[in-house]
Amino acid sequence: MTGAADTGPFHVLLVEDNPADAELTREALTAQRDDLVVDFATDGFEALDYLQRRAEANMQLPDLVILDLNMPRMSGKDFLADVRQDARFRALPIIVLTTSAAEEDIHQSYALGANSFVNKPMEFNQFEEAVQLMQNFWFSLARLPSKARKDDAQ
Amino acid sequence: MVGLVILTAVSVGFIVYWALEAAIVPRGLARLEAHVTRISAVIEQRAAGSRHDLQAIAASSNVRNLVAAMTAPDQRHQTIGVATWRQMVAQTFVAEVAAKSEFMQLRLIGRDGQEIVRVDAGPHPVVSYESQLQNKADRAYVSQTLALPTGQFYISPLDLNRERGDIELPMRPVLRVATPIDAPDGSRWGLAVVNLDLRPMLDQMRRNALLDSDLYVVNEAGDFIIHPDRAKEFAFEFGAPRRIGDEMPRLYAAMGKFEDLGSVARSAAWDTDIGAAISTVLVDPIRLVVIAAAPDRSVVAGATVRRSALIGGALAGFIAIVLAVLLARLTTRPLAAMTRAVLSGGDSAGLPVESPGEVGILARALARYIDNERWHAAVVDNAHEAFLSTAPDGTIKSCNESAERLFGISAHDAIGRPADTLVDSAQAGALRDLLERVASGQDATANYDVTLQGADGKVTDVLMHFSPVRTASGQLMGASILARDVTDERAARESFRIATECSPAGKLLIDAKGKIILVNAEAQRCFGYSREELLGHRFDQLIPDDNRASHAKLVADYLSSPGTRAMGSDRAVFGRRKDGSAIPLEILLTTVPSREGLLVLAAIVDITERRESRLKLEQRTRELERSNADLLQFAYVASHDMQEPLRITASFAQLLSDRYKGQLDEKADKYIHYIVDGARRMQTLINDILVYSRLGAEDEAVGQVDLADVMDETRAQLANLIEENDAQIVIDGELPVVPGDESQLVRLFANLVGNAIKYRSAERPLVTISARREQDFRHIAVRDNGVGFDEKYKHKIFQMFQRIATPGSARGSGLGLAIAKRIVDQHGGDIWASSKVGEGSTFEFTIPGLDP
Repeated sequence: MTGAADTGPFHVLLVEDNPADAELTREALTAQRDDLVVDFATDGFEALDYLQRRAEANMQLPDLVILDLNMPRMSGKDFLADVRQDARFRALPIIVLTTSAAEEDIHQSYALGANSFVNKPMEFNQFEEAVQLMQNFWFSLARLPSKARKDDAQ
Repeated sequence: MVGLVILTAVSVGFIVYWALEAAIVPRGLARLEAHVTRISAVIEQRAAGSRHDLQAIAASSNVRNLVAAMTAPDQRHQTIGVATWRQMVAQTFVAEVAAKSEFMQLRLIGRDGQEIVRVDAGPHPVVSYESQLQNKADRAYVSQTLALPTGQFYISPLDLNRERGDIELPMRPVLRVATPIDAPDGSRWGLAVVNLDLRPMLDQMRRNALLDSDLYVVNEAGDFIIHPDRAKEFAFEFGAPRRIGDEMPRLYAAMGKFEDLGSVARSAAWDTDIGAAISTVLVDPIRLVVIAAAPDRSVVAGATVRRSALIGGALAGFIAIVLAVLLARLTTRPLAAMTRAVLSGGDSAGLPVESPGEVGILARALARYIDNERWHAAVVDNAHEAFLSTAPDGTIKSCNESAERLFGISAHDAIGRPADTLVDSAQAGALRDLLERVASGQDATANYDVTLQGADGKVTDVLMHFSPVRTASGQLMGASILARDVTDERAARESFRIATECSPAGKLLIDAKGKIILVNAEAQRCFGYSREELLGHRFDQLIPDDNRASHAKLVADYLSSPGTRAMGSDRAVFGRRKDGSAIPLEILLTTVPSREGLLVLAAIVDITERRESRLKLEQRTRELERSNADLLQFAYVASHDMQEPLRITASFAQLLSDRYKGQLDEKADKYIHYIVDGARRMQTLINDILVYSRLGAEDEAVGQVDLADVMDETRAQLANLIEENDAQIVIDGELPVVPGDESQLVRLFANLVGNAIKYRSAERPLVTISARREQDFRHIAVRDNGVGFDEKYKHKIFQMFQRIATPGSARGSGLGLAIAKRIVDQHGGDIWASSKVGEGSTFEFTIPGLDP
């Protein structure tokens, strides 16, 4: 129904304007997994476009969206607001991964429909650890419903 | 005094008399005149009768025969002897004496003075025997009679009969009439002398005296022969002469005029108070004056009316005089007392105010007058004001004690001096002119300000006030000078003037009708009007046209609930200048009740500059706020955005270190460590800046915060630090609940306690937190035993990025205390620190507001 692949690698959309940051996150995500496909969007606008295209092409949606907040054109918060408006993306797991520790950012992110808010630790080791914890949690959770849906489809 | 009263009584008589005098008095006098004339005539007649009798006796045949017999050279030729003739003569004499009651003695006396025949009258005439006869040669009447020409008479002075040298009593007035007797040959033989007893005649005259008048008879010496008071008759015989000159001097003087008249002269004359008629009887050589006198004119007048009325009148007159004398006596003493009282300078104590009647009334009136005078004198003497009076010529007539003090004069010296000598020569001329104008009535009053310089050099301002002095009828008598030391008053007024005039605030006093009645220099300057253009004019002219209606309402509102109030405090009030421009003012109004109604005192401050500076300040504040907000926003954004590259730098450095471990040498590992460490510190810094900037940018969540909870949280946050340093945190006493933002307060405590531990000394860190209540705020102290700091940095440490060089190697962002200060500031408190290097520091702060 969603067109998502039954099996195959986990699919992550990383919305991040800074390529270095994106590279760091990708490093952390792929450090322990080989079966991980990471797509990049450099801002919210691009990310939204990506999701809409995939939905329209009836392609599988990413298993997880990792969203930065500070981005040009369309910020993470704006993206959240827009993407949750669309019924197709309401269940899409979106994790805000940001350097900001400001409470208002945390509160606003949750209010706009973020599934989680993760602070980027300064230390790369800690960052890596955090990303992997997040990965494990979401990928394990995300898997089960997918399979159920696939069973229904069959 | 008695005389005065009698005179008064007599004057009453005179007044009555003068009313009747024209008609009655001449008639009264005529009566008296007729009376004395009649009496005089009687005397004259008797005297003439006696002379004729004596002449007849002397010429009688028996006497001639006796004389002839006695002078005959040969007595033998005589048929009858001398003794017989003497007997015969004596018998004749006895007959004469018996027949004539006034003959009291009839004698023949020889030329040698020897009595020859003597017959004395009596119930039975007595003929003296030869042995009883005396020689009277030494008597004046004998010698004088013998010297007379034949046929002439000697008449003796009227005197009292004496018997053997003693005056016979009762008094018997005697007149001797003698005439010489010649012998047949023509030679002087002797004399015949008769002693006339005048008593019956005088008694008859007394009896015939008019009832309304007194009869006086005086001799040529003025001695009373007849006097209403019998004791005064013949007083000269008793060695104490009573003469008419003593009793009726003017009448006596008038008598002198008749001295040269003929035998009987008549006239009427008045003595001082006696109406009298005088008749003079001349019986050569003696002269008698008969006087009929009415002692009182009213009696004279009364005599023409009724006898009884005359008696009553006389009695009434007498009583009146007696009463007058008594009254006078009664009056004299009180009057003397009153006189003393007046002369003593006004002591009314001795006045007979309790006396009855007019004396009492007069005494009381006088006492009142004296008391009044004394009161006035005391008022003037004791007056605080100096009081002087001057005569029309400008000389001082009186001065009181205050005047003596004020002008440094003594009354004794000053009186009589020209008043202009009171002041120095420079001021004297004007004073003299003013005084003259007042004293002459040209000016009603005048004031003169003078300056006196005392001997001690002290300068006194004196205000002199001149008033004319007039009698009750308005006649000018001089001038009075009232002078007052106005030095203090003037100084006070000058102070007031300076306070008002030089006040930096404009002052306007406005009466109930809206008219300006006082204005000072600043108010003139504010509005650009001169004093003359403001005084007496309505204050409306000072209000801009477009404000007038609203201003009128403001004024009406103000007057309905007056008090002291500012007009321009909440909004700009504008005044209108003379040139029409508006001026911003701050106006403070005060109402002042007065007799003329409610006055409004307006204090006006030109706030042009203040308003401009306020506008400028507001603008600057706005700019500052904006720039501050910009700065905070910048700090926030910058620190936020700076985190990313920093993290990336640090992360890649770490990634490099991890992934290429072993492939790089030790030196490269060290460099990578420096990169990571630098990035870490940079991140701490950025975090703190972020916190700092957010403290001003975010709304605080104000609530009641229990500092005990805050400390628990602080301990939790600092758990690692505490554990690493084995620090001891002691809470001394109880921590209060304060109003504030909990997360900020946690940060505050964390910063302070964290600092206390970080800047530790070699000793085990001990951090003591205590709190106490002070008035309306809490005072909290965080004391440590750390390294401390030099107190010269105690202000600097709260500034951003200020780190103090300390022995330890503790490191922070340099923002910890800046954040602490900002948090305390945000809570409205103060923070400060005290320390001594090596002995620890104490950070103290206050948080206002108490737990409910």
